[in-house]
Amino acid sequence: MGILHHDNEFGRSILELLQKELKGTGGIVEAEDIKPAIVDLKESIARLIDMEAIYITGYIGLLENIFKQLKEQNFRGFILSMNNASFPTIVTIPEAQGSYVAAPIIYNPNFLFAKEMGEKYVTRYDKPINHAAAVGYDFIKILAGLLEDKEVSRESVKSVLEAGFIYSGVFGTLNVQPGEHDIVFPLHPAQIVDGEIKYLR
Amino acid sequence: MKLKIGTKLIGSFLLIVLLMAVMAFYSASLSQSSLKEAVGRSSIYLVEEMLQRIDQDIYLKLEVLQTHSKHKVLQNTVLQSNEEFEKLASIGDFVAQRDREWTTAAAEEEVTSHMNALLSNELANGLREEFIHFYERKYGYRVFAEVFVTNKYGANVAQTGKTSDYRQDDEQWWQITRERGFYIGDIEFDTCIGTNGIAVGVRIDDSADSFLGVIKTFVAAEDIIREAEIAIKKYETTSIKLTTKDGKLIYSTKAFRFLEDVSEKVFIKNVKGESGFFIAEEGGREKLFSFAHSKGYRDFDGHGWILVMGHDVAEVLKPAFTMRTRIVVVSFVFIVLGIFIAYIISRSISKPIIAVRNAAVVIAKAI
Repeated sequence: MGILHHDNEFGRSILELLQKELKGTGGIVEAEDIKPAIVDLKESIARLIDMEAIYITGYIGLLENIFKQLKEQNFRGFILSMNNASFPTIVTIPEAQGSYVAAPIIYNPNFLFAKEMGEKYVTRYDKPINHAAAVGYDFIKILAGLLEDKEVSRESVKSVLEAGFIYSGVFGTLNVQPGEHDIVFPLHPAQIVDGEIKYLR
Repeated sequence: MKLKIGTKLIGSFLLIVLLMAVMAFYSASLSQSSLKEAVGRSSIYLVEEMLQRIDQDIYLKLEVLQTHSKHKVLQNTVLQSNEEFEKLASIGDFVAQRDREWTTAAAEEEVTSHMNALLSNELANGLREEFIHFYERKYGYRVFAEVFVTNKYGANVAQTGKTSDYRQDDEQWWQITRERGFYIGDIEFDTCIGTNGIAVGVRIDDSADSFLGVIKTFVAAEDIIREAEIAIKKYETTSIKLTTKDGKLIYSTKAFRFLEDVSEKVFIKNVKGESGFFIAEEGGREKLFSFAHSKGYRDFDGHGWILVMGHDVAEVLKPAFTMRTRIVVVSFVFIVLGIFIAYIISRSISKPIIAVRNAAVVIAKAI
């Protein structure tokens, strides 16, 4: 399996995780890092062209470029990507069709909570909602709920977040245990089909 | 005290205008109370409707399980397991031994070959597909967090995930299910699955209504509550809190701590009777709270949960506040206008009278 990743801490952390996961199954990871100024990825893609699958990671603009160049280079394997590839701007490009992504629940039309919120968002801003906006919405709601009837101060924010909480928002239910320092917004395996996210599980 | 005729006229006009203003204020305040009453009462209906939806949805999950308990693969697997157990010299000893092995392995997060067999048999795969994956694919979240089946001796036969123990007949839910035909537990946090929900059990009977075993699931409660919340009409500032009958928080539209004791919070302290509404301050805002208790559905008695729905008073009484502001402005304009008109009219009446009076004085002096 190949990976095209940004040459930064985030990109390298994804590479390490992928190597760790594939090691258990006997797979091999061939990595190609992308320097910030590089736009032409022909050489990197050429080195990974025979891979069974390529995992791509990066900012939305970079992902769009990678999808297009993979198509131009006629890559025939599976393309897998991170949550950024589930942004509406990527999902609608022809080159991304058939790719597998880790998608948040927000794009599932059967998830009524997010659907209702998405409709309100379109009415207000005249553009479809994406999960970056939804993270902001959810986080403000989390803080507002936890700080209700409490003093608004740094100490207060720290203590309410450290105490753990449950929140049902546009990403489903977040269950943060006391002392946990990460808020994990759940992602689901999905495929980009006909300009939409099709959830696989 | 003698008053000038002009003063009397202006005073009379002003009195009428003031009386009108007082009446308008009184009507505004009356309509504000009526609106408050109407919103409060209609919110009680919403709260009751939401609670009914929740109970109905829980009951629906029970029915899904009841329907599934008649499936051929399930019936055959449980029947076969019962027959195998009947051949054992001591069923009790066998189950106890397996349970010890199971709990030891489970504590060490180990999956034994016996566990694996129950996780991957035909029934387990079918349950996983129908109860777990189907809903996960469709909605993006688990409606049923786990499902497992026991034979009539309380031993696991198939399961979608690893349970903490093998023997279930020593559990209260299992005994109630066998006796009553079904079981719906109160909301709880399941450490095995790492989520909170409601345990639902159904007795498996054969075509002759003989007891074969039990099927149990753990229904994700938050999604049931959230679906019910979306379905009811509400204001922008509407917040919902659901507590157990003794005031432990089990759901909130805002971030919350599961089973936090909120019995001393203002929105629970004012809950008196089966249903009602009240105004109280929360988070520095005046809110109109409506509440009701869950009553169950069909032969499910419900849990007596308390649902409290709050709306910002500023939002729900906005029409009344707008009307009051308009009345203040219009009354002020009318008072100023009234003074002016009264002055003009009094002048037009008093001027000729004064002229006549002056003429009379002149004539009197001439005589």
